[in-house]
Amino acid sequence: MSMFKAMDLSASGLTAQRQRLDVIAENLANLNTTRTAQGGPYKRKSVVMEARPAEDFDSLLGSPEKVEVVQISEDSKGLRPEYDPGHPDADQDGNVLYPNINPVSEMVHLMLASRAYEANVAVLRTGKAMAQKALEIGRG
Amino acid sequence: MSWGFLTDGAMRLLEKTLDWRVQNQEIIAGNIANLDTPNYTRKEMNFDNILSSYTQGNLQTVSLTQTDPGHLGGANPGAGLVEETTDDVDLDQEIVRMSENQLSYQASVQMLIKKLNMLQSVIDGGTK
Repeated sequence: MSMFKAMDLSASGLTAQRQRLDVIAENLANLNTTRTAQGGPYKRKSVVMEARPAEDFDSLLGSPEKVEVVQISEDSKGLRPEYDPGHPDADQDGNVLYPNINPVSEMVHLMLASRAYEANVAVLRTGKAMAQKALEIGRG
Repeated sequence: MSWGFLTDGAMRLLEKTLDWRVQNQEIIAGNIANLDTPNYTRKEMNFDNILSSYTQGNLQTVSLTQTDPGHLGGANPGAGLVEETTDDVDLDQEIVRMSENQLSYQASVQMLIKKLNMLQSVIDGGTK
């Protein structure tokens, strides 16, 4: 049924933005993590979003596309060295590598993800209001 | 006596309009869901074009070919009405379009309700 397709699309947006939020939370939580399972300091993660046609055949007819997080990428550039010879993870020169996370930029992305999430909720609400209005047809 | 009241142009147009408005809502939902998708360009439906070509009777839509009169028609009556643009998605503009779409949808539903109320009035013989 068509009305619910619009809601499906909004739901895909909600899922994607929530995943983005999760990744930002992970970045902020690991602001000072110097040890990971892969070795070395924690590296900043970010989501890669991609537009996906809702159904295969529909993509030929220019129908709306869902969004999906296809990849969570890791950025290993710009790790912060800090002089701290007493730290167990310090190298021979006494430098400790800290994650390449900028809390300010993470917070900005957090706000953007939150606003995008709200926008999808607004669309969902509108779709619901339209469906409810349609139910009034023929009701005395 | 004909049942012209139920099948007149206004009723059919209202029905079509509701279909298109729902489809437009889908398009807008897709645009907003892809707000942060790199290289995504917004899609849109141009209602001025659709309505004018509908009233002139030359609306171009994509549908399944029927090679036998017994075949059922395609289930996607609005396919082919969506235009691809080259612009990025602008949240503010998209929200405005969505509100406009919702209000127009509600207006069409209201018109449909009024039409049906008129029919009800006739059935009741004006006694109520």
